[in-house]
Amino acid sequence: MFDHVIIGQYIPGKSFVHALDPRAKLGAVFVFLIFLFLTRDPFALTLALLLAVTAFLLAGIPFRFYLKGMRFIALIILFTFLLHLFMTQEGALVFDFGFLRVYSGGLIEGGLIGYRLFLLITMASMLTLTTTPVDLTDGMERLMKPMAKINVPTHELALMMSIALRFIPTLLGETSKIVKAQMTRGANFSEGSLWKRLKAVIPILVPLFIQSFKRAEDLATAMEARGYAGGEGRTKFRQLRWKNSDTAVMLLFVLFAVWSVLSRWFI
Amino acid sequence: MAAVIEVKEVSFRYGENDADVLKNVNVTIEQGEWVSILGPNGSGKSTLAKFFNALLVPGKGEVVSCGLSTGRERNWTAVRRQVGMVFQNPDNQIVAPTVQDDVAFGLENAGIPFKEMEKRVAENIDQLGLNGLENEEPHRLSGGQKQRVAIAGAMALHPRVLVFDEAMSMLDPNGKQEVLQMMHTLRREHDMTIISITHDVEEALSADRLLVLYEGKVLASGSPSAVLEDSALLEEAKLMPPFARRLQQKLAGRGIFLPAAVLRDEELVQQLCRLKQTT
Repeated sequence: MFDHVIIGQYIPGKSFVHALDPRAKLGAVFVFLIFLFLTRDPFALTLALLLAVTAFLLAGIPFRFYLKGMRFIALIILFTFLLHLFMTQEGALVFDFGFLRVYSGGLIEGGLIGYRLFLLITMASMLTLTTTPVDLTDGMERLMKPMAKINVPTHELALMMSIALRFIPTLLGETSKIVKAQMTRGANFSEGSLWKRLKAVIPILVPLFIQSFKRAEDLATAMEARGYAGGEGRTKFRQLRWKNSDTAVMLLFVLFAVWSVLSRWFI
Repeated sequence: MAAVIEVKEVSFRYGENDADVLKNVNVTIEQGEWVSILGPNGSGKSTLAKFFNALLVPGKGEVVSCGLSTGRERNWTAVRRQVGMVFQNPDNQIVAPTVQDDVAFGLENAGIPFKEMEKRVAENIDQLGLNGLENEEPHRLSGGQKQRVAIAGAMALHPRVLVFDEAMSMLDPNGKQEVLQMMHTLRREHDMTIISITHDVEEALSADRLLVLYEGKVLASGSPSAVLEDSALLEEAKLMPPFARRLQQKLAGRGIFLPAAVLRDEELVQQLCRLKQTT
């Protein structure tokens, strides 16, 4: 099922968007999301669409891949649209099916929320499709760094995330091994009532958990043996390089933010 | 030769009420030596290894590693930088999501500046023959490759001693060969002191000196030939003699005597061939 959700997948490439600093991408998407939901100005909304389309074109993501990934999202967008359509009771009455009434306000609200969701998902996908999880973690760590001053354990959070990423494939491999091992012992995962099937999962989870604890302990020892003693005084092998293109992209998104604010409250 | 690691009268138990895992152990390891610590499961050999780089600290006795006593907490980081360690399970010792990040992990901990780090990572990747795998994810590597990544990670810190804690026990024969060859190279080209913990007698043959551990006590210490030809000692330590030696004994039982004691397969083949020529 997760094959059809494109958020969280990465497509290797050498495009302009791939080459951007993860901090710039994270920052831009963050700004984009906030102001996209703040503004109702048609010009700002068109600008948002332009930004998303440009990002998509520059990222060089195959259109078919994008469409396939959006199928599932489209359902959610449609559902939200309908919800707003029927629940909003403002403006002139447009349709009247007796039990269901559609007002012009609902049409506008539904359309707006659907449009925003669509842009939001597209932009967020562009971020994860063009940035490796490792780079994302790195970018987040750097962006969160000021928060270390107020005792937010930013280094630990980033390390946790990077270890989790490192072990996902390992644990997946292990899970399939355990499933096979239990099947050779006669376990049946595909028949019986829902309750029976749920119970069949327990013999997979128990060994998986025990193994994970063992791994965690081994890993902690291995880290200690290599002199790990927390984030203090540590240097980083991964260097992020902020380029002029990153500044330019950031500026573009800040302009969008400024326009959305101005158009909402001052113009 | 100077001693790099001295274990003096160390006794150790994990919990208050547990039995002693190590009983008054005395071990000295010289600079540039290749020592194999041999013993069956539960003999305390892996526990002993953890004392070498201050992963464990003795309750009774003292361990001096590279001139520093591990009893003092402020020595731990320095000791761990000098005594690298490669563990048993290749999957559970790679921390970072790619090969080069993992090689850099120890350097990051040590606070090495980026320029120097970049140089050392490249050096160690090259040295361990991992070129082309820099950005590979650990789960795509073979067991032997993963252990080489682990060795590269330990070597990046330029240690004086490298401890292999059953580092080959989970590898297939090819992986074993890979790692063993790497150990020989490190020793030849970098004059590394190597300590390998193992229950595999064949693996122990590469060492200069064997230590036999049994139930927390050092039973014997000597050259591989002296130790492995001593059938009574091996039996006491619940260890199996090498294959060549076993075959030689079986042959002797049937009245076929080889002219000299054999431990390695090649020696066995040589002697068997000679046997054929004389009959």
